[in-house]
Amino acid sequence: MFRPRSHAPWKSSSVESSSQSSALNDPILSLRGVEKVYPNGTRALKGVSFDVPRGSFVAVIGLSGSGKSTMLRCINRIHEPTAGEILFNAQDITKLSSRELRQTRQQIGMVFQHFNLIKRRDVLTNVLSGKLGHIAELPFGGIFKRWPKEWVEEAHEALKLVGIPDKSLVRADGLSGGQQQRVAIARTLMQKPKLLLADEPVASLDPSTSNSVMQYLKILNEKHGVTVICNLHFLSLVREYATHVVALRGGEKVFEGKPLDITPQWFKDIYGEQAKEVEIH
Amino acid sequence: MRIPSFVPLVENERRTRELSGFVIEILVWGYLALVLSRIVWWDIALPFIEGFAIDEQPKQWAVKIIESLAYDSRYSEFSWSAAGTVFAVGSLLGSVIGLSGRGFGPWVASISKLQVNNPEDSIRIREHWSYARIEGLLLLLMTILTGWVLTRVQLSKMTELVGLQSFGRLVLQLACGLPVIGKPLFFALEGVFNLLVMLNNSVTHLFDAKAEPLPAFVLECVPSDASYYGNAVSKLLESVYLAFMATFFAVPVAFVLAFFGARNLTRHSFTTRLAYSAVRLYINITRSIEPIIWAILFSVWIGIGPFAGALALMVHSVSSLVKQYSEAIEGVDDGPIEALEATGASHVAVAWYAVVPQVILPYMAFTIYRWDINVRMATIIGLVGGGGIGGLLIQEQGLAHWTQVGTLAALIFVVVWTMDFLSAKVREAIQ
Repeated sequence: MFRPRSHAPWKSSSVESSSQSSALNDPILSLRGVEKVYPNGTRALKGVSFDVPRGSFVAVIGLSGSGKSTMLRCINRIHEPTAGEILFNAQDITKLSSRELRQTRQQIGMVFQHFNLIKRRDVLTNVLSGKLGHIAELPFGGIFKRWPKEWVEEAHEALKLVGIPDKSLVRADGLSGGQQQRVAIARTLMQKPKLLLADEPVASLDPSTSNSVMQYLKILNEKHGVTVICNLHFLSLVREYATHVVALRGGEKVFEGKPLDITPQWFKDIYGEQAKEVEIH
Repeated sequence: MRIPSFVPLVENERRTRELSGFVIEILVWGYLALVLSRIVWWDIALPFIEGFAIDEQPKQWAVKIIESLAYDSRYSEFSWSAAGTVFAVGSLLGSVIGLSGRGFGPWVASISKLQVNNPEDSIRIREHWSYARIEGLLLLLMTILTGWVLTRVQLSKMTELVGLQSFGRLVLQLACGLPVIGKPLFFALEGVFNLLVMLNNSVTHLFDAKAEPLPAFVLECVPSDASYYGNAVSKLLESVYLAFMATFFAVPVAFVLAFFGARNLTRHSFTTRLAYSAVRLYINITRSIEPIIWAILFSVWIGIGPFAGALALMVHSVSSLVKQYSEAIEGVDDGPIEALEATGASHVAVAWYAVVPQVILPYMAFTIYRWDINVRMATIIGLVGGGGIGGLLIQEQGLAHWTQVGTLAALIFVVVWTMDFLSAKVREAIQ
């Protein structure tokens, strides 16, 4: 489903698309006072709240250690949030039982800075592992189930979409960084996610590969209607790809708005007085 | 007992850490007091003084000390009440030192992963623990000293001629038993040993003309015959197969248990944490009972023979493999685990798809090594009726057939060396 990128201000996306049903107007995700305290006492998140409109491409920016990764991991409860609510399609994720959580996680894709592929397995297996959520309730988590034919075809389709259809039988650690990230994207495609969490997906890639990976995220966002929340370091990428920006500093939200609203003063607030913007095109 | 605030600690743990540091300090000084009195004073100083007192010309001061303490190294025992008193005095001292918060105990208790951000703090911390370091060094030295006394290290024994002669005779007989090279090795060694004897005799003759010369080594070498080899090899094969069976059936059990024995996979719920403790308890209990005891238990249960030996080795292999496997699991990269959890996969699927591919190589290496260990241990198991070559070995050793013992040892060596060679090849191939 194609969805035009909204350029309306943050909260008014619902006003603009008022013709759509109310369920679609609700934010796909809202964080309400999310806190995370790690066992060693570090307070990584100190009550973060914001809404993610359906179909948007939200960039999360901030210094390393500002809580960006923790926040993404709290959204699908890879890290258990300490307090607060996380509403995904109006359902509080923090209160789900482990079985319900697995079902919800199927709808939330995730890609990582270090790709997190199973290195010693071929690309096809890696892509198919995106379907594991669908067979999680089988005995032994479905590890004895053979991949159904239609899933294998789907996996080939996904690989075609990310432009590496010929690599399906190569071992994942034999690929370049950019290719590995594309496999990771294909893996989340298998989930048919409503929401995609991208944790610095291009931070370990060179500039041109970064752009191509970002392009794939953009295709997912625009052509497949996947809402994307993406941790990014480069403001140039934020301006080019994101529709909304959230900035964190020291575990607190310090900015929320449009990419074009980030003035030099805001930039200094987010990254500190010493910071200078580095361009990447 | 307070640990100063510039020492980085997780704040809500600070009280517990301070308390445990205090307790450790008390224990350390109790231990030091015990070691000082029991080892340094009782085992080293007092016998030394006693030596002066019972000398041909006794020293008055030494006699006075020994008499006042009523000490006699032949009868005196260090009583439990004395030990208790000494420990109490030591721990009293320890608690005083512990109150200062500068000792070894607080130092150990304050160790954490937390980093110091302020460079001045790291200097202050270094100064703060300067006394603790000295105490730690003292602790190490006292422990080495205790170890030295308790293992009864006597370097002078190593050069006594009577012992050396017996050792030489045994070595010659063992060498004679080696297959193929036995006889030439025997004659070569005999020649070298007799040369050493001649050298020794001529040197002692220079200093003392009346000294009795050492006798030369005159031994006969009768190598084991072909029929003996036949019997030994069949027994050896029994051991190899026994070890294989034990390893083969231990692997699947260990494979499953290892997932429950790994900390990083068992954090998420109470049940899995319970399973973790249960698995760890099981492997620690079974591992602390030596395979030789297991072999006795099983041979009482199902009768003497290789089956009992195989079961004993299997029990031991399961727990050792679980330990090694689960530690391999704890070392895996978390990334793929996170990625698969994020897709909604079940815990079993995460373990199978994200963990197993990462640990399969170390598993192979551990397993081959375990087989290697089991082959060697199978010979020990045989000593208590677990079948295989061990039974033969204990029999020959009991009859002092050292040539046969040499033969058996050589055969075992060939198997162990072959296993090592093969495992190196396999490890190379699967990298």
